[in-house]
Amino acid sequence: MDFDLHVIENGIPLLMKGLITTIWVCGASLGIGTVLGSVACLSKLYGNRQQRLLANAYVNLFRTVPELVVIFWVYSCLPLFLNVRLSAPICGLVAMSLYAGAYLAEIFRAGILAVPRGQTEAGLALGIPTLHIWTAIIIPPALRRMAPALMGFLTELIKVSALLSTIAVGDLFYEASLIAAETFRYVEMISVVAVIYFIMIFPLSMIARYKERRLRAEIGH
Amino acid sequence: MTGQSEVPSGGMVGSDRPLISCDSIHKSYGSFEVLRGISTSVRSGEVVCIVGPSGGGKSTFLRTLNGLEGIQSGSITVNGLRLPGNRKVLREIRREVGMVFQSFNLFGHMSVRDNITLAPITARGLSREEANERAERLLERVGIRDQVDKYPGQLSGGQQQRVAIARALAMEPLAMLFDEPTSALDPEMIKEVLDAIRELARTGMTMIIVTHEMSFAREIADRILFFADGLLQVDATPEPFFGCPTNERLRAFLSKLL
Repeated sequence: MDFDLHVIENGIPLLMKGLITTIWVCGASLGIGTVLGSVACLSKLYGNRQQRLLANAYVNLFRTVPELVVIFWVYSCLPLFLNVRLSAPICGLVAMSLYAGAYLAEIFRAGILAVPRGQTEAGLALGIPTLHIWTAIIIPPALRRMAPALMGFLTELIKVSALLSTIAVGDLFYEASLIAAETFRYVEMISVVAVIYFIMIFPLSMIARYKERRLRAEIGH
Repeated sequence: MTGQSEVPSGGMVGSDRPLISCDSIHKSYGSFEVLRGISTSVRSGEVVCIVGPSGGGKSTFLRTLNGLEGIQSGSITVNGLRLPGNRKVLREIRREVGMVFQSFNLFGHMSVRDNITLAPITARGLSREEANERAERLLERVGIRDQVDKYPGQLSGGQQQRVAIARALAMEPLAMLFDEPTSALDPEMIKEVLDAIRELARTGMTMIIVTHEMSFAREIADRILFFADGLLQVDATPEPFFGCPTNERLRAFLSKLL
């Protein structure tokens, strides 16, 4: 079997374009997901009955339905309900954000609940304003506890983004498979894509493991 | 304490009007009544110790005074502010009443300095320099000036509790609440914390102290309250309290101690 490096070389511009789309979609859905996740998390922790119910429904729905189904549903069903035309990248972004929000909500919730109640009580007893109880007392230690899970989730998010190629969003995998289909050089293109994903994700998972180890050493178990 | 001028004019040193007064406080968890009608008052400058068996309502009572625990009926007045009240009243009271916890509850991710300056900066509007200066002065006072840049995890239990005392004092409160301040400490560290509290008493700080240290209570308290079964059973000065208690529950309690 011959492995044609020229195909890869010629494909670099398209692969770069795809890579940028992948990074862009992951970054944006992480951002929107953070907002959705925060709202869902706070609703679950402090909301009234309806808010808790709604947040639970959202989180459970998007954590159980396969990501591919969510992507297709947003792409082919949501526009019918809303009676609008949505481009594939927008649909992809919406689906990924909804998915990210549901997972992040649970990560945030676990992080906040891991901060001992006594910390908040000490802040309250000192008369510290609510905003500062959050920004100075709860969020910093919560973030440190969440860090491993957050890194782990980011790796999942990047992997899931490859599914967007199924609705023709021009991400890394989509561009690679286009080139492969045109040139019939599947081995080269799919392999190089695998390597690129590995290079992106492996350092992240190493950081996640490192943070996890350090956190365990700090907490002491 | 310096900086008394910053204390609102409500600070009534030497007055007979109570700084803190409670009128038949009731508190339940579900069907279990923890406080069954507590009425008492504390004047400015008084040192009041609360003793009694576990589950008798001592800590719960203390925590109602700054609104960490809500009450079902009755009322609490602190320096003219009334509980139950809205969030603003609650915050106002908490700024005027410091609290020291059994488990210290220092902010583990902040240096000793930041632990002490956070509240004065965010809740009193002090500048960072003023707050820093205050933190160092208070640490000097509790004898750990050199630990200012350490983190709580690097300190002994006794040192942590003294930081917690300094942190509460940094708000220049009118009164201090201590919730079993030495119960989580190794025996050799109890004295350094009690010494810090003794020093506070000498400066005329109003204090309410829930404690199991009977000899300390006897030495420092103007009045001792005995809580059992959710009731304030005895309210007396140390002499009659330990001398010849007439209350059956108190007699039984004291006889079980060494």
